[in-house]
Amino acid sequence: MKHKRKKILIAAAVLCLAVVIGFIVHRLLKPEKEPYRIVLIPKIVDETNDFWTSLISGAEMAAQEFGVELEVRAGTSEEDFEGQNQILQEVILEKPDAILMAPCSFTESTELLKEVRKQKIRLGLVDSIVNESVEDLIVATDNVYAGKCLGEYVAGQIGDIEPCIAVIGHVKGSSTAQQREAGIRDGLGEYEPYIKEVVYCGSVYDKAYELAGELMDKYPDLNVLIGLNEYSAVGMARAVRDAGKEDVIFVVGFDSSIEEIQLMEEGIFQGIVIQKPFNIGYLSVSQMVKFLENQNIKHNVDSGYELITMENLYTEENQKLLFPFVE
Amino acid sequence: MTKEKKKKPLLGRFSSIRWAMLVSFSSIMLVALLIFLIIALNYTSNTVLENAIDYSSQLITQVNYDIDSYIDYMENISSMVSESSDVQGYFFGENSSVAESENQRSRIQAQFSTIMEGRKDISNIAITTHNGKSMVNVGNSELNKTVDIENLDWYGAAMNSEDGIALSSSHVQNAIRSSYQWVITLSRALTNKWTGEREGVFFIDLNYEAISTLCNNNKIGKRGYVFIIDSGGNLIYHPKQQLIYGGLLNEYISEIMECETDYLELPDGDDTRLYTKCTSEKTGWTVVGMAYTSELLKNNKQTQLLYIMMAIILIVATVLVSVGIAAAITKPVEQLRDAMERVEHGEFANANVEVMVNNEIGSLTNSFNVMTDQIQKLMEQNIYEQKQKRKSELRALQAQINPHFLYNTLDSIIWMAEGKKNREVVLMTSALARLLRQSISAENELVPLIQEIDYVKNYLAIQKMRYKDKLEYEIEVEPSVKFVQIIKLVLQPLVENAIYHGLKYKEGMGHLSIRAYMKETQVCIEIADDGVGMTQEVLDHIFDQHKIDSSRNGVGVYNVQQRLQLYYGEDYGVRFVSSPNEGTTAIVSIPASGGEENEA
Repeated sequence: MKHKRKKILIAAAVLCLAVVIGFIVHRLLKPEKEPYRIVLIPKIVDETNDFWTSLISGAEMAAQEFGVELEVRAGTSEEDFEGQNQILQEVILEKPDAILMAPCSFTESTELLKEVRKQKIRLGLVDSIVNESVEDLIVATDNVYAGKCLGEYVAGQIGDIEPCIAVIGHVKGSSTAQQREAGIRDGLGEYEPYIKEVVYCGSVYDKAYELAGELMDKYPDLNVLIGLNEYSAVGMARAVRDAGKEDVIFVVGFDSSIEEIQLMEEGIFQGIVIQKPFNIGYLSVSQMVKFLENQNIKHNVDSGYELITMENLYTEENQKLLFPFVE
Repeated sequence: MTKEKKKKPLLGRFSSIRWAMLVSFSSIMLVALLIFLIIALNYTSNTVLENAIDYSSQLITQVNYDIDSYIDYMENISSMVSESSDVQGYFFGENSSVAESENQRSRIQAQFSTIMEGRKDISNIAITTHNGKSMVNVGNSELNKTVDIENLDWYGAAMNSEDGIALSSSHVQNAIRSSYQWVITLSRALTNKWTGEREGVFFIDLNYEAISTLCNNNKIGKRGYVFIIDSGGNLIYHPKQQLIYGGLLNEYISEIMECETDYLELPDGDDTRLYTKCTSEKTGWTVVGMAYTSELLKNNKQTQLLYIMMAIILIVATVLVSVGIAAAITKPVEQLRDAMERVEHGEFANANVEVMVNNEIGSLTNSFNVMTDQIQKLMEQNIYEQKQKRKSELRALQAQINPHFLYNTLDSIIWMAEGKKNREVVLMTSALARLLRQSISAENELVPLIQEIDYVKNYLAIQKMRYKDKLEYEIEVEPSVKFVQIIKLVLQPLVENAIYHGLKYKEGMGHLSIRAYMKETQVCIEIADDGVGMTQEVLDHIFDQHKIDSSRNGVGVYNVQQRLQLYYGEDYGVRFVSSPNEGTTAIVSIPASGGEENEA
């Protein structure tokens, strides 16, 4: 009986020591977590395009903050969905932890994106979406609302004259173009029927310039031009400036760049709706990391937008949005 | 009862002293260790944190000083440029020739180049005056024509400030064409030396090259950082400025601005942010250092772990040592207790306890040993005395029988002699003579059963002569019991009893049968008669002592029972089975071993 007690006591003591030592060893040997590997496939990598540059820098900042291995791969044209699909296929074979993609096409990448899910790679769509729900996460501007905001602004500025509206889109079939157009039509309200034509420049400045010239020739009464992204807006604004029609045509567009701001300062642009590309990039990576860590996240993250006019161009808040803070 | 319970001491609740000692030692040590541990942990934690705050403050003060020198340096450049004769001559001189003006211009240009050369931290350096003249950088940039420079904040600030120098907060510089950079603008009003009026501004746009290096080189911990805010709470520089501007990150700027002490602790999830700040009198900027206390206390964590480990090891060691000490102290007590238990059960054989210690328990053990010895002696003496007493009683009882029997027999002989039955008298007398010889000659108290039976036979021979046609007897003895030892003169009184009380009053022939046999561990001797028998009432009083004194009746029975039980114990003796008119059987039982107390 006494011996038994003694044995139990010694056993308990040994057990205590073992637990403590085990705990310490466990702490010391705890391996460093392997960093997540995320591949970002934007529509285009173009140093001259502030939108994508800013988006990528946002993603890179998040990657640095969360210790993610981030790789950015993209084609040279926003229209080239085949090239993008090619890149996507290569990336799938590399099996990263997650893919963040801004699909060029609303429909053409859907099948491949399903394959991404099949390979157990997490998928986040940034900026644009596709026709089916294949993603784990969306980080984008609410393009319908952004379009509506611009449409309402235009409608409010028309006044007494009879409007003659043309829209220059970027890539036909991309979700952003579709949603923005729909939003604009909604925002224009009673003026919606005055949209004469919607054309697409394929996200090329010169093509937008040409198209704007053609539209001005085709519709001499043209008094509203709307550009659906940076390429189309800047291209058509250059054309209006060169034609000297800035007092006649009410020019509005999407996105921001140094050139757009200069054009606004020059009085060509009457208003631009800017997205928050840095936020899109940052949020897409940071939310994906949280998702990979099994934290609860919102499936659809709205990155927000802002309407900029000459009056509010240099307010403190808009400065912060328009110009990326670069050290 | 309840009072007694209340009085029960705390340690009395344990079933053994060993456990009481163990638990009390261990818990006292545990409490002491815990108190020590808590004090030690708190003390270390506080000291480490205080050191961290001190260190952080020193660092931030140093950064602040460096930034002041940096701005000082830039102010010196600005004063050097603005006071140069070339600048005065080129921008305000009215009488100079075109060629001289061009010379002045190129000299200023050269000065700008020298200033900007090898410096990445200057974005723009420019002069603009009211008369429309301007010079930007090294001549490759121009002012933004769409912007009215004179309306810009930094321009007005310089023009209106007392000493003509202004330092802006962070802003987008839109005064330079095609360049919308975030900068800090140091602007200085240019005074026309001829008119004495402020008629232009010289400005340097500082990007964050130098400031960020200063801040990032002095961050505290891996996740800590240093940032700068101006007197209005606007960010001058923050390593995550874009995130803050994008609304993705919040910095506790208002809390820091409101805080009057040099440091501020704010909770952040499981962690605490430690802000230390230092405000420059020169620029009005506040340099703020942020560090996570978890990182500052990292070493402290290890120290704490060490403390806790030590505490655990000490506790285990304490318990083990307590076990040992308790065992050492209580072992003699337990031995003493075990010995006492043995004594309690009457085992004196191993009652002596070895004295191992010289303390109170040792003397207790000694006293116990002395006490048990004395008890043992007393008990032995008591047993001896009891035996002696019983022996003398036995002798007294044995002695009692002889005259009684003799009286009866002699009575018969007298009766026969009166009847002139000489032959019978001879026979009876010789039988009596054998009887007496047997009875007297035997020195021993114990005799083999067969000898006792012989004795009875002699007795019956005498009686047969007295009750010729009234008595018949038979004796049957199993061979196995023949030599079992039995105390003398047990059977004869019972036989006598059977004859006098059973057969004597019976009409006609009476039968007496004596059988001795083995029954389990006992030897039984049955003396059965078919006489008048006894009623239950008589049977109940058959052993009553008063019958000793009545002339014939029952003297023997009490005597026999006394002797049997004195000698063999309560379990043995004689018992009677009887019913009226059918007869009586007396059964004597003795142990087959012949009695456990042999007089050796």
